[in-house]
Amino acid sequence: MQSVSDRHFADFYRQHHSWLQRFLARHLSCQHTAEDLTQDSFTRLITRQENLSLIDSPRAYLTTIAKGLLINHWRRQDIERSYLESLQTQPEAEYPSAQDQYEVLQALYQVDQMLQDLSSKARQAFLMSRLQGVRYQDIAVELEVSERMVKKYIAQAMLKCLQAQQADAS
Amino acid sequence: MSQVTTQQREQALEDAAFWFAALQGDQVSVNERKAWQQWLADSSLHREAWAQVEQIDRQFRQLPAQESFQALQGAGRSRRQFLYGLAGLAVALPFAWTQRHTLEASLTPGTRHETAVGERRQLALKDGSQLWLNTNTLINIDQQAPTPELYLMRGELYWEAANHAQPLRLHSDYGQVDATASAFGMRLQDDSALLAMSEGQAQVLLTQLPTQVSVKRQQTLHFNQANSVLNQGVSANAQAWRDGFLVADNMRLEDFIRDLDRYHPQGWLKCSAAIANLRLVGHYPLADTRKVLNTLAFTLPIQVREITPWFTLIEENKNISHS
Repeated sequence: MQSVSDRHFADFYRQHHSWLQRFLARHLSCQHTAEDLTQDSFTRLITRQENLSLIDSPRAYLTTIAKGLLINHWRRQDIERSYLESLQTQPEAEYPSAQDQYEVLQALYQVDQMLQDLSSKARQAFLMSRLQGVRYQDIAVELEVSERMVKKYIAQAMLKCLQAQQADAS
Repeated sequence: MSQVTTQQREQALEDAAFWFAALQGDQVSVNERKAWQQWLADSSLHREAWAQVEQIDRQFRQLPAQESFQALQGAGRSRRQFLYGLAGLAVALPFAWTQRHTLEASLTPGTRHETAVGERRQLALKDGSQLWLNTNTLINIDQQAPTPELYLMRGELYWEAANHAQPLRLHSDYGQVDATASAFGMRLQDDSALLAMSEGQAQVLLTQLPTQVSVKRQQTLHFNQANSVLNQGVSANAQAWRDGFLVADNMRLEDFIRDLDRYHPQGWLKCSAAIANLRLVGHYPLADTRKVLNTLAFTLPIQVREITPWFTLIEENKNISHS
C-alpha cells in the first residue's frame, strides 16, 4: 500500500476507532470480542481498498460493516451453542476432545457459509439427506414438495458447495 | 488444444452437482448409471469436477451427523423459527429470523428474558405485577419507563397487573397494546398476534393504522399490522399453559399436534393428512410431549413414527382394522 493511503488510514483509524468499539461493546457481552470485531471492521475496510477520502459518511459505512460482522458473530455463536448443547445429551465418556470439538466447529462454520445463500427448503433437504440419510421420498413428504424438487434442491446445494470450494481455491 | 474456458468449468460443476443429486436418489436405474459413467468418460474436466463432488461428500461424512444437523439448524430458537416455516405457516430463513430477533432485542430498551423450547418461567416486576413466559419466548422488560413497558419479540406471555390502576404498554411488530387493570395473554404467531383479555381492557394501535381498537374483558383480538378481528370469549389455552396443560375441546388432531410442537424440544412434529381431522378432548400435560404422543397412540388409530430423531411423523395406524 502507498504511504499516502497509509497515512490516511492511520488518521481514519484514530478518528473512528473508539466510537466503533463502543458501538460494538453495547451489543456484545464480551469486551474482547468487541475489540476483535473493531479490528476486523477496519481490516475489511482496508481489503475493500476504498479511497477513504471519498467515503461520504464514514460512520454509516463503518456501522454497516460492523453490523455485518456482528450478525456473522451471532450466527457462529448460535452454531457453537447448539453444537455444545447437543453434546450434553451424550454420555460423558463419548465426548470428543477439545481439539476435535474445535475442528468440528470450524467445519460447521464452513458448511454454514457454503449453504448460506440457499433457500431454507433447499438447505433443509440437503442437510436431511447428507447428515441424516433421509430418503428423497421422505424429504419430499416433510417439505411438502415433489421428489423431483428434492433432487433439484440437492443439486442446488451441491453446486453452492462446489462454487464455494472453487472460490476458496482461486 | 483449446483453452478451457471459465464457462466450461462452470458447466462441468453444474453437471457434477446434477449427477450427484441423481445418484443419491432412492432408485437409480442402470441406464442412469451408464449415462453418468459416459459423462465421466467424456472429459477430464468432468472427472475433475466429480473429484470435487467426492471431496465435499467426504467433508460431510466426516461431520458427526446428529450434532451437526442440530447445530446447523441453529437449534433451539432458530431451529424453531425454521420448523414453523416447514409447517407451512411461513417460509423464512432460519438464521435471518434469529438474528433479526437478537438484533432487535439488543437494540430495544430494558432487560432481556428468554425461554427455551419447552421451558416456562414466571417473573415478578418491581410493582408486584406478575408475568409468565411460555415456551420459546423472547421479551424485553423496561422498568425505567414511567410505566412498565414490554417488548414481545417472539413467543407468548401472560400478564397480571398488581393493582387496578396500573397501566402497561406492550410493543410488538403488529401493534402496540395499552392495557389497564388487566390480566391478559398475548401470543405471536408467524404473521399475526393473538390478544386474549381475561380481565380489564386494552386499546390496540395497529402498526399501519391510525385508529385504535378497543378490547374488553373476555374478548379476543386477532391482529396483524393492518387488520384485526374481534371475537367474544377467551380460549382456555390462553392461560392453561401457565399450569402446564394444553386443553383440547373437540380440537382437530392436526391443530393439536401443531400446538404441541411448540413445546416439543426434540425436533418437530407433523401430522399426516389422513388423520388430520380426528377430534380430541382432554387436558394434556406439556412437560413431556413424548408421553402425550404415546397416550394418543393408545387411544386413537394412529402411530408415532420417528423418521429421524428430529422429525416425528404422526400417521394412520394401518394395523388397526376399522371394522
